[in-house]
Amino acid sequence: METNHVCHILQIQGHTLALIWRLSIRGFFFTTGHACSFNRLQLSAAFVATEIFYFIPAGISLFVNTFGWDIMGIIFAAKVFNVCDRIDAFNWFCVYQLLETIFSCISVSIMRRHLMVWAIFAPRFVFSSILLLLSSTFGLLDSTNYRRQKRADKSK
Amino acid sequence: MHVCQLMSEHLILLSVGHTYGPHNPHMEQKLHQMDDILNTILSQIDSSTNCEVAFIFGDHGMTEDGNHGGGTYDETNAGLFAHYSPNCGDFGPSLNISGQEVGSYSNDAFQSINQIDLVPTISLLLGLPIPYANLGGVVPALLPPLQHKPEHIVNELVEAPFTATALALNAAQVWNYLTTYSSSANKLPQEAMSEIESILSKATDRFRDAISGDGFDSISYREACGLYKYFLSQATDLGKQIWTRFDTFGMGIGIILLISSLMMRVPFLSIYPTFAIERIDPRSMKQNDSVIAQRKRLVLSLVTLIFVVFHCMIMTFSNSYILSEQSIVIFMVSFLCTIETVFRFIFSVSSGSLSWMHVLCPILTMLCVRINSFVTGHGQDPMIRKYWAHHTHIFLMSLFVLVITRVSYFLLRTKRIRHSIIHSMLDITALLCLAISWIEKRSIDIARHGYRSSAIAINLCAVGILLSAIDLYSRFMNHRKQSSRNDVNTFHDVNVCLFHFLIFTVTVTGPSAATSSLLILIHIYAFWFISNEKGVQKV
Repeated sequence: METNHVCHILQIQGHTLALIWRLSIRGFFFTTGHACSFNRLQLSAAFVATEIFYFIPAGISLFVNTFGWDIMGIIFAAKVFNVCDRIDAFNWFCVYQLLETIFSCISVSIMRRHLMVWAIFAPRFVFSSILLLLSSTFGLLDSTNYRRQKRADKSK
Repeated sequence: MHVCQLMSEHLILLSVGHTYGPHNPHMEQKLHQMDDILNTILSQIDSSTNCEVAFIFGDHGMTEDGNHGGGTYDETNAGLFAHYSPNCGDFGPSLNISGQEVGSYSNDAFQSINQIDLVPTISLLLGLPIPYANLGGVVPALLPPLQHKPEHIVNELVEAPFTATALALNAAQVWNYLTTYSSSANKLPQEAMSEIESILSKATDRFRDAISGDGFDSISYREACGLYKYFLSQATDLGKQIWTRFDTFGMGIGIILLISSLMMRVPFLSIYPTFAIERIDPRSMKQNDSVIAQRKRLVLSLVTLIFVVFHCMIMTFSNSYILSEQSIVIFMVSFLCTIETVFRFIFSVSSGSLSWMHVLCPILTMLCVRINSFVTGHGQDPMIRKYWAHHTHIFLMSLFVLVITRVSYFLLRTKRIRHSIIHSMLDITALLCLAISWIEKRSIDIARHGYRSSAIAINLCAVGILLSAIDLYSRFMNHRKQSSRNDVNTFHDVNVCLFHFLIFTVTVTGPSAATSSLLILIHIYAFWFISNEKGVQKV
């Protein structure tokens, strides 16, 4: 009983836990020198192993360089929330990303004639939609896995 | 006419505006300084023996707080000041050309000056052809009086033929551009084209009348001017309509799709954890503890709500917030984690049953993100000796710690030794290759570029990721048959895959990423610890 008391206090609610994780992986995205803008892409990532530009390997390198931390964060979140039986937190995690994309879509649409639309708002929208794609892909994989497990448990 | 071109840009005024706004002593000081500069330039011009002109204009205005970029009146309107030296002669009533003779619609075209109108005006003043793709219209009021006045014409009417010619040249250029564009690139709407064509032909007729008539027909010239200007403004409007097009229908569909996908997610959301609530009977808890728990939930939920509304919704509408997102994100993480820690500390003081790890973990998550902002030089050439994270000792130490972490993780799970050894060896070899490649890249000798070892590291990681993916896939497929709960093993496999991926990311980011990767590992550990706090230890 004593442990349960402690856990009742300790336990962070799903929506807060998801926000902490989301903000901290976003923090890692920014603190590793990235930003939501095309001129801040770390182009040197394309030339780590070669001197000549090869389209596909260079593209993969650049993509991993930019979104690697986020991909890791998303996969880890999906897995951790699954293993710790906190699928509620992962739901919130996906909803936050979705909310962000919806609002940046709306903001880009409203400010389509703003001077800074191509420099700031549109790249921000592109980055957030890529993150949405990533989180929904891994979320989908993970939730299929999770449901299968649940079903398997029940049948057992 | 003697042409001398001088261009100078006073950016400092812009910086002062951005920093202090328009209503600030600094702005006043700067404006006085600007006045002095202009005074000097203009008096130089005035004392010249040639005809000189100075155009002074801003490319945008500013809001009350010194920003610009939006579409308000204050931002899109700026001053324009043109000064001709006395030697250019007397302007007289030439400024009066206003399209009044043609009608109010033409008069409107003379009422405002767009920035694009400066292109043909300045081109003509410089004696250059109007640029091929120009869409602006000459501003008659800015053209200089004629130097050589024909004697038989009354002085006050002399400018009309000159202005009409300038406008005719301008109209011909714009029409040429529009027809070429319409036939070669995109077909322009037929109706609009024939409408502006009729205005153009009317204008040309009036111009022809004015030239061919015997005697000087000032009215015809003025009418021609008005019609040409009207044509030019209509052409600009047509351009605005066709070139700045947005697929608003598509945007609407996109937003609706996104919102409906959100709606589908909402039923699965709950603000209560999926477990533990029924397991714990609140009555069995001490009164004090339950109050602390409730308060903590309330405060954190409130803060979460505010942060989500700000970060996911409001922030996307402001360019300055988007630019400083990094500081905002770090602040929010710190704030959330600090609140959590404070509550845990209070609880630990009051009941004394919390280990220090429980109290410090939230702070640890926050610290990792914060410390990582001091690690700089990601994606920069390792040869640049500016960043401390590029220092050989630091990245070698970090790589060494990564190796140790990997080995200890391997030792923790020795169930499937053969299988794990392959993955661990892949990682450790990749890390060694990285160390070699960065030492080579850091050397000043350009021939030692470390491409080979980088390539080996990347390939090793790729192989590792592929192997883990195959593992995960087979495990996923086996779930149906075995129907056993092997979460923990899947978790382990995912972690191995993530480690390969981490090394991949570190490889393509550069030496400073080694330190960052250590921080992210600590961060991941702390976060796992927080998420897993629920009594029943599974892992």
